[in-house]
Amino acid sequence: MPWSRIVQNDSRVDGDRIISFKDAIRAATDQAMVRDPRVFAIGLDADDKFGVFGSMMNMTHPERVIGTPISENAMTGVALGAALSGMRPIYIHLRVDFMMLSMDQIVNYIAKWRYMTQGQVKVPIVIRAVIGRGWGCGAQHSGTLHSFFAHVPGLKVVMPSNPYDVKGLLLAAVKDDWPVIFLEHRWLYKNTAHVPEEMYTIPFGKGELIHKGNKLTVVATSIAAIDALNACKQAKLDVDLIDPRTLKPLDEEIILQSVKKTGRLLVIDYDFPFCGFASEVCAMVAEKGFNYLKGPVQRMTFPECSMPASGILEKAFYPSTEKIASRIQEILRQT
Amino acid sequence: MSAKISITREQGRWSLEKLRTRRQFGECIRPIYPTTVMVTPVHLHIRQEAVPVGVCAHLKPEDTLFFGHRTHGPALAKGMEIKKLMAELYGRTTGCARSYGGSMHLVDPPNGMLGSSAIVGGGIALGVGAALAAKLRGEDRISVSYFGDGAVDSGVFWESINFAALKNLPVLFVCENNALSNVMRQHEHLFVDISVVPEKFMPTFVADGTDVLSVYSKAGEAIAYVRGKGKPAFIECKTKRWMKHQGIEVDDLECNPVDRQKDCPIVKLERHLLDNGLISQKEIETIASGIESAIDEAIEFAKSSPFPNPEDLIREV
Repeated sequence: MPWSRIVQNDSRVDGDRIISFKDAIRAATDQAMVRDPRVFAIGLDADDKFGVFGSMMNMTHPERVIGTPISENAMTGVALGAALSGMRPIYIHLRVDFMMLSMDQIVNYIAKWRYMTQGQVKVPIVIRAVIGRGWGCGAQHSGTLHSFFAHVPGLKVVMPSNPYDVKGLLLAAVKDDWPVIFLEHRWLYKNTAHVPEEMYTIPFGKGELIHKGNKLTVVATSIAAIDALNACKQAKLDVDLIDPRTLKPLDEEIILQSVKKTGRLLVIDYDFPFCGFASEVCAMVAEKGFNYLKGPVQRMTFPECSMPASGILEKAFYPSTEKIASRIQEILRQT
Repeated sequence: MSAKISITREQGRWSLEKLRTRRQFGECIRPIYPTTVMVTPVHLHIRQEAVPVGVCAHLKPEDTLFFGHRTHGPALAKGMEIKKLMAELYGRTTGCARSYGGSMHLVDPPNGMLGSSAIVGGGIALGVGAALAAKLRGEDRISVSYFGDGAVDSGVFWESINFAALKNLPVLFVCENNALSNVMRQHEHLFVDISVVPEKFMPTFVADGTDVLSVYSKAGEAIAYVRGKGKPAFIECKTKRWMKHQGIEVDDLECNPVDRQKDCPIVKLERHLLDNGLISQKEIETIASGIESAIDEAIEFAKSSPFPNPEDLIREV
């Protein structure tokens, strides 16, 4: 099997092969397509000259990169039909907001196919979507919406925060025989770090402690993890910071172990607050780690409104490194 | 129309057996269903049998078939065992999907059925995707998207035929047009005739869906084109719905008058075969009783099969 001899790394390895987040996506996709002829990429503008913010440039097998009409619903069904027939599609959305057009296929079909057929057909499909703000992109081009997908049984949801993770998690997603939703924040694309040349995977359901401390457990995914990490470093905060890397499956153990030590929890989630990922983590800790808690669980999310366009309103809407630092300092003052 | 199409004795017998299997399967459910041993919504296919039989006669096991909620006809025509279907309706582990699927979600990978969907329209795209896979892998097989006239209203229909035509994919679109979308007549839900849309994109055939020989002939032409050229084709089979959208009752809509002799595919085929000396009344009776035994056997098989274990509720999620 093309995927049997790829190493699995739980945590980052050091090195000096510095590349960007987008180049790590490109490398993983290209290596997957070279390794396995069943892998192909499909999506609106998947094959255009801008190459999905540069993540699909100069592929070795352009004949397996298929641009589509603006027909997200049927095209997701096409990718599913191909997956059921033995291919391993990577469906690409330039914005998660466009992915809403394929929710019938994602929720009613892709998520449920394994259960409805009791695993008689495999569903090896990866759906990549670019999430998050640009500059004044407003309400319909800045979504994140990860909790939608995490809510439905049958979908795995991955939110990488750095170049090393994005490569290993994307390869793990393509290797997986079942559907994976893979969400990439566009402001991470230019971030750089060491990324090994060879193929490797990172297991789903394995979070990483990216900053160590004693007073508070902070859980944050994707770019929120990066903003929180910068806050911890700049303000020298005495907190544990956990990047779950995958929302579903969720590494509950790493969160509970930390809360056991700190007694306090703050979940930072760049998404709407109601029924969101932050609520889910808080509920999990309230159910399974209640006796560890010294104070109420806390959430930091978008406000309960859509994304605005004007810069001054964006500043008010979005969390930031500074806002995270002051929120954490406020919690620490009360300890 | 039947008289114009020549058919061998073997083809005639084969078609009659397939038609009667579907019919007798559907009819056998009607008295069982009210006893609630089958707790799954059934969408019976009675008297629409000619369409899947005429189409599937040209398909190989490896050709994929994606269909909608009215599953029994296409599934049996494509090769699903009667007992696997029966056990699925009885909610037993020997059903085609271990009874996790139910009547609307049938699966049989060895016979090219990779799952079926009850959300009208979406399955059309899956057939296109299977054709894309065949093309990318250079495999010598075709795919069939099988749907009703209601699905033609959906955006996914248009998106699918456009993409299949753009990319030259070996897919046959089959519209089993029973002229009713639930209880809505066709002219109330669709502004144009169905074949007007696909004929801009691909060769489009129209068959008499109440006549298995007409469907067999037109589907043969269409499938020869898809296999030969590696490009999509469309066939509309005009039939009539005799049953209500869902359940076991005969449809009584005034807008849907049916002539029980003229519109019945079995009556038509039997008359044709008898008139042309291709079958005897006794042979017809032998075929019918053979099917009856097979169905009785399937019912016994289903009834004696185990129910799933509630402890296995969360499996293959």
